[in-house]
Amino acid sequence: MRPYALIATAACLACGLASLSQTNEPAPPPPPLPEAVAQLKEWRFRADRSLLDGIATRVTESRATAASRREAAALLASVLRSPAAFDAKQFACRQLVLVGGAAEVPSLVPLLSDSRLAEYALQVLLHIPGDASTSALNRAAQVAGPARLGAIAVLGQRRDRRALPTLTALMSGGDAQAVWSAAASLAAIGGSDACSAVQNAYRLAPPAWRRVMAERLLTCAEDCLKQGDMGLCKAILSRLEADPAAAALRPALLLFAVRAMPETAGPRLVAAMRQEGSRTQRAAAQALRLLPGATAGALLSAELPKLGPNGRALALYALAEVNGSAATSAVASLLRDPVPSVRQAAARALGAIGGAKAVAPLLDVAAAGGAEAGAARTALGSMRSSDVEPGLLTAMQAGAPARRAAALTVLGDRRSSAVKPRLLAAAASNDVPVRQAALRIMRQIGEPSLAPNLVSLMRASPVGSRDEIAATLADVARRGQTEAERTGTLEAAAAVFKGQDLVDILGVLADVGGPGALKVLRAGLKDAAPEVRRVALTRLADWPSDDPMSELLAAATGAEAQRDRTVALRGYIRMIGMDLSRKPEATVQLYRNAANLARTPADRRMVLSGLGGLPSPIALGMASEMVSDPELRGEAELALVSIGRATAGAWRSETRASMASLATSAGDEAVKAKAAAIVELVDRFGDFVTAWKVSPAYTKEGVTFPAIFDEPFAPELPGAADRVPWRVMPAGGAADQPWLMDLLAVLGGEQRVAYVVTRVQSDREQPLLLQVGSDDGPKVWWNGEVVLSHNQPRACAPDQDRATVTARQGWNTLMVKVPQNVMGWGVCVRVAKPDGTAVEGLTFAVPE
Amino acid sequence: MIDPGNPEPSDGLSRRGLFQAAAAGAAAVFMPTVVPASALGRGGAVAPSNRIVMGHIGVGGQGMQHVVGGVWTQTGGMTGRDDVHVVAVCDVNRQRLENARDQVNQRYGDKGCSSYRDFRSLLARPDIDAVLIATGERWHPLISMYAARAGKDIYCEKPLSVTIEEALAVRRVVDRHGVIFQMGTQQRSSHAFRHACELVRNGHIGTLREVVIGVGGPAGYKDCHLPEEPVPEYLDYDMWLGPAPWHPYHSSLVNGWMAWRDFSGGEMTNWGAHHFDIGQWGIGMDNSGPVEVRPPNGKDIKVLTYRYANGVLMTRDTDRTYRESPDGNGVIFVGSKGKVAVWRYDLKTWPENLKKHVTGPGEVRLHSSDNHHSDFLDSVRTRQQPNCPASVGARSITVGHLGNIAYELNRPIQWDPQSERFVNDPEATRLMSRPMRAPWRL
Repeated sequence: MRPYALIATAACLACGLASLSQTNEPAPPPPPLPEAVAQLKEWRFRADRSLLDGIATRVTESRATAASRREAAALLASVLRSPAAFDAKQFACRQLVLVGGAAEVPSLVPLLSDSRLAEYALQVLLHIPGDASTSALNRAAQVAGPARLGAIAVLGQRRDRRALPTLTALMSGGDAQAVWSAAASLAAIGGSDACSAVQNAYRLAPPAWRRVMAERLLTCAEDCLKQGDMGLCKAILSRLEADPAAAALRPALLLFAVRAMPETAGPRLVAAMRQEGSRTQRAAAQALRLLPGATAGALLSAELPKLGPNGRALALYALAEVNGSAATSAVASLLRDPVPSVRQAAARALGAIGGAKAVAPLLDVAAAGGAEAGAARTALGSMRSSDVEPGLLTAMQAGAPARRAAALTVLGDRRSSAVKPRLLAAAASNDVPVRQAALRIMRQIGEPSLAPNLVSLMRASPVGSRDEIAATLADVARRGQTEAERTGTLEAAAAVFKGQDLVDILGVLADVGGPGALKVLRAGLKDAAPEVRRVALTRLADWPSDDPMSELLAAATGAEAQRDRTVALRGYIRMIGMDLSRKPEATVQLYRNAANLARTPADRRMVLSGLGGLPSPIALGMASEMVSDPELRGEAELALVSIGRATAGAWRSETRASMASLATSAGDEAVKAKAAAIVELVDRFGDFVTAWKVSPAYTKEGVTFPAIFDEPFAPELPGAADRVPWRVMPAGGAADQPWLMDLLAVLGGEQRVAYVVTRVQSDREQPLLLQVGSDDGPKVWWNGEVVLSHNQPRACAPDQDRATVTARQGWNTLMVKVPQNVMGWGVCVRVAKPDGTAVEGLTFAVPE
Repeated sequence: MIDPGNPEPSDGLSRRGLFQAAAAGAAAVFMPTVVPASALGRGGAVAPSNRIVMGHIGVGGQGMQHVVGGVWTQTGGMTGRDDVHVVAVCDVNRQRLENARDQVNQRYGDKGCSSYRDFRSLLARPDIDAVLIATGERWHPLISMYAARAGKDIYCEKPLSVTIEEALAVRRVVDRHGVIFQMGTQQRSSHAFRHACELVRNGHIGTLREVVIGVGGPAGYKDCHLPEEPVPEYLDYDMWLGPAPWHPYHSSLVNGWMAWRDFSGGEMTNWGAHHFDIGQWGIGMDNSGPVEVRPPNGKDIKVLTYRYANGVLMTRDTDRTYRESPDGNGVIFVGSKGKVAVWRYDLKTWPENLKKHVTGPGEVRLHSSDNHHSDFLDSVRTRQQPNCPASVGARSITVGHLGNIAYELNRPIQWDPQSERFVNDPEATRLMSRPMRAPWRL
């Protein structure tokens, strides 16, 4: 099925509950057009739109022959003449855009006096050629009414010369909007008669009107230029340039003059470039680019020093772009301009126009530092000439270290292949700038094959000056495609190195990461040298996963030095929160254990920091206990607020109680306010379900919205559903929509789906009404059965879909699949009695 | 009286220019009576005279990403930059407007940000150098044209327009007034996309045969069928609609306009604005376009297919782009000797080591930028064209529109990229333009 048809099918399916998952059945053919059009006359916006899609299909088919097209157009026009509502008539107009002809004009004309339908009639009339539509538009343009301005605009869009008398006459009227619009349409139609009409009207208009009409007159001048009528073109230009009412147009007039008469543009441009800081000066800088490089260069060569700083910089940028090499010496002199922005512009321009001779002065600038050094480096990096690179290679061999380093840096920026073999030697240089430049380039482009040499270089360097080499080594190693490429050399070195050499290698390994590095670091914990054991422990404490938790726990209790125990404990606490699949009770127990091991308030505060990220009432309980410790009170209160935000939807009563207490007892006013805000949020949830868990976002190759709606993912697949890593859904993300479960905020992205799930306990078997709002349309399961399916692009609002279900006594499961096309993504659900009134005896809870 | 065809632009000196003029000893003709503290060189990094004064028009989801930063814009947004001072925000939604104003003021620690419901009032401020437009695309052409006439430089979110004619009008007016215009197609400021296009342009995959584009299809509905809901008190719905055809208010329309053809070209111009743009960049057709577009016909043409005058085919085939990466939305260039595939977060080449090729000094180098905001602001300062000016943006969005028209007509269409008109096709020409809702007009 072609994509457009696919979407159209989805649109048909979006009509209501009747379309429950019927996607595999072929859609019935639409009714014949006469029958469908008869139904259209009764159609209203809220009704099934499949009628519209059927008509659209039939109208498309009608375009196959002139006769069937005429027949379709006539049928659609009959809707316009009928008492049908706006809803139907606007649709008929849309269809007529492609099939309407002169025969339909009489049916369209009455719509021009309807404030809502006039624009739809104009949509059709715009495209119907011939006298009938022109006459209708001319008439509409002449009388005050809802179609007047639109008709004037459409006459211009049609470029219909038969409209000239009407439009010309309109310009002698007193309706400013009509005059301005008529002038715009005349200018769009063009030709000497239209331009003369606009010019005359402009001459007679008051200044306030001329400010607006100047733009129209410039359009006329452009048309004259196109037609080769230079006399009228120049006359219009002169008039506009001399008119203070057209002052706002001066930048455009300058650009036009340069385009129209480039050979005489010089004085105009120079004068404009002298208007420091003006819009006209900016336009002149752009107009310079319309001239040949030699002309622009010659023009500016003498003028450059006389311009203001803004003008000098703008002129330099223009010269850089047009290759105005005639101004090279003037540009080079501006490398010493007192204004930094001018020096930067000069560096850029010299790089563009100076050729190989510019390398030396630009290297001097690059080596000297300052704001323009970067510009000089960029200029050198982008110079194309083939003799630039040899010049840079020569410069990196001799001269002042800063200049050699600058040459080296530029060669790196240019990704020069010639510089690669020289990098290692440069990295071993005694000149600090050269060494640093070489290492910087290696970090940018160095291959893993450099690792052995860098290891040797690091080992040969004095202790205390190895950091930059170590960082370079880590960057180079990370570029390896395989584990062996990344850490093989480093592991081999670690196996033989001792003392400080081993310490440094362990640091690099930790920066690179991976299983091999982890293994070496674990081994380092058993090394004989205390400094090696310490660095291994420190780097394991910073490890990005929770793999070393057991080693850290052992060190936290068994390490000899208090400092090591502290490092290990902090790493351990940080890792407790990493495993999201662990049950909250177990995680809280780990935090309790860590709190017991903690010897300082700082360590216990770390426990609270981790606890604050755990959305669970048990976490609320533990944090509440710690509030009583005066040394921890502030952090404990902050942790409570953090937990409360996450649990507000899933555990309303527990959260509300905790936050209400905090709102009165907290020692910090800001905490009190935050706790009170959470209480208020919980109170505003109303009857919406907020106890949800959310799945990850699911995508599938080649499947986008709306097709992704029917793509089954793990939560709806038997055997896979119990392995879904559900997590508690935070509620109340949007202040003005506390009921909205904001999936975009939690998961983000486009072209995907997610699921939310909750458990509903009923004290008896009873019928219930599920009321669902979602962005985009949802699929809903009640106790494993699909009860609602509405594939539709839309924004979320309460109660967009409804489904009646039967709750069994005890626990029931409600799951909603929410697709995401683009923009917003969210869901809201409430449950009522089948008649929509409040239901009692229900409890909602997040699944275990 | 407000003329819907023209703003009331103020000529003369911009605020930036005024500072410079004063510094240079010229007669200062204007000084603001109240200068926010934040305008006076906060942190001292960038002098006020070099700071670009901006207003943001449209401060919803994407618009706020530009103000304060987000995943699809730049970290910190415009208010996070030392070289920009955001002084005004504008939106037809009062809640969003107040939120934006407050966030800007919070960033700067003052009360200097003004808020406007009507973009024309914001454009009338002479102190504003540039505007960032992030409304729906129904508004992009008109606001861009108003801004150009007011002499403001423009960063405009994609898609550029709802019709081809609107896009061409923006290009014409921007060109006329000589303002800087940056299309918000930030993939042009991504190393991966630039690298991919340079590999193609420099012949590293041999002769280019085909470009495969992974984007979604046209807007789901040609017309809006939603019933009327009460208009929220915080929304100026008439201004929200602007030049688009009138339809009764419905929240789903306002929050998801991309589903309706009156308001959007759907994914063909949403993601299409990015990936067709990259396709054109790689082919080297920034100032041209395809000569023929064929919709799928269930026979020999399986997917939407564009043909360029040089024989290159461009197809819309998400199956193929997804096959190479879970990112899906992306571009694959297929040549006689290899392939390059690029997505937001991935670049693959065949042969694999081609990825490591560094563009040499003698090779084609495309406009280099790694930050789309910075590229725009650099252009504001230097008057050099940014990496996606209106001329390029209009061409790229035209590709998406042409695809939509081919889908709608369900038959091949011929396009003349020189004249930018259909070839002997009055029916297709009817879909190039539409009238705007009065009093708005192009």
